[in-house]
Amino acid sequence: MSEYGYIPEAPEQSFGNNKGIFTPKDIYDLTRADKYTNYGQLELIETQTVSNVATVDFTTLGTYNVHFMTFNDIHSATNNVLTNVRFYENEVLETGAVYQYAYQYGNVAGSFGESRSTSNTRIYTLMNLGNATNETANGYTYFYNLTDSSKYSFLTFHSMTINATPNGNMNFGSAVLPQASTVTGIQVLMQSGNITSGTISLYGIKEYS
Amino acid sequence: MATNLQFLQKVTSAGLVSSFDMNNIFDKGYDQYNIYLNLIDSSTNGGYMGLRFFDSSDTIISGNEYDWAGQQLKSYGSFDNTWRATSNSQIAPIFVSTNDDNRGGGTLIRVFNADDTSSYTFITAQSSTFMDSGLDGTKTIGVHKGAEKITGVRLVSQSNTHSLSASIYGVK
Repeated sequence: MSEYGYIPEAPEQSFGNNKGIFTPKDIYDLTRADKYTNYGQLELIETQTVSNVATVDFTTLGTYNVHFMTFNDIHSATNNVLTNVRFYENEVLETGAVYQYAYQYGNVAGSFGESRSTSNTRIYTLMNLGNATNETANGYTYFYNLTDSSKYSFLTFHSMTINATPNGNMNFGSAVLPQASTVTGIQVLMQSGNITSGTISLYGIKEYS
Repeated sequence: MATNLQFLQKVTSAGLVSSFDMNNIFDKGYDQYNIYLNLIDSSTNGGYMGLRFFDSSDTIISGNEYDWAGQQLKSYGSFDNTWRATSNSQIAPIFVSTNDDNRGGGTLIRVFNADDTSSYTFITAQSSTFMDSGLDGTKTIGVHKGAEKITGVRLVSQSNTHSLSASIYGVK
């Protein structure tokens, strides 16, 4: 009996190295085993389109080492606040003053500066925005090691917003939850008040050994 | 079917190393490559890591052919805005101030024009790491000022050694 068209044995199959003739069932089985070459490793986990909520939770993270989150047209109910992130560790929300962040900011009026903290209750990611029409926040965040219980959880981020002036506003930075833990969820919230509207998408960056 | 981020390979260091080579990872037909770097551990606290390229003969480019600039962000103090050089032997920093307690860290390096024989090769990089003092981050730009094909990357540790893994993708 042939395997993948070979008699008696087929060569070992792996991502990027498939040899032989494959039935639909072969493709299905090899794909499930991460051994069939399918391109498209930016894998959408979940998109949430929000409307007037205090928090947005992403509680399915998969087993990725790197996650990517995009923020589109975030509107805030409160004026002049930043968009924040904090984590669930083993399904328990970490609200302690344990997060650290550091970011560089600047705006079109020429004001540049640094913002940092070694003990905050949340991570400030997207720069501050106003609450009038078109005063929105847009940006992205990369997360590293969230699902690794032996490692801290790290972030990098970059955003462009329209603040309350209204002026164009940017920041880029890094952050960490300096606790060796398994992060099981990501919570997005405003510095105060509700998220009026916006779209947030979470992706996993898939890799193969 | 969307296929825009395409996994190419994963490279892992043999424990703690002073140079981490990723040979022949380019020349795959992409205008942009993404390298997601997973910092596993360091021999000591502190230090930083720089980057050099391999040319089309798989020879390391160690001459003074790189310009770069970066910012070191710190949760525990004023940021360092002195990271810059022209006609230098490497691009830095790719990350700074790692710890020796196996706490990890992450970096994304984007490489532009590596396959192009008539263009300079550019990078952007952003990292997040942790030392005993607190969080360190970097945002770095760099260019190899040689119009030639680049085939790989060497990451060079300064003052300590690191264990790393890197996942390389083509952006289509």
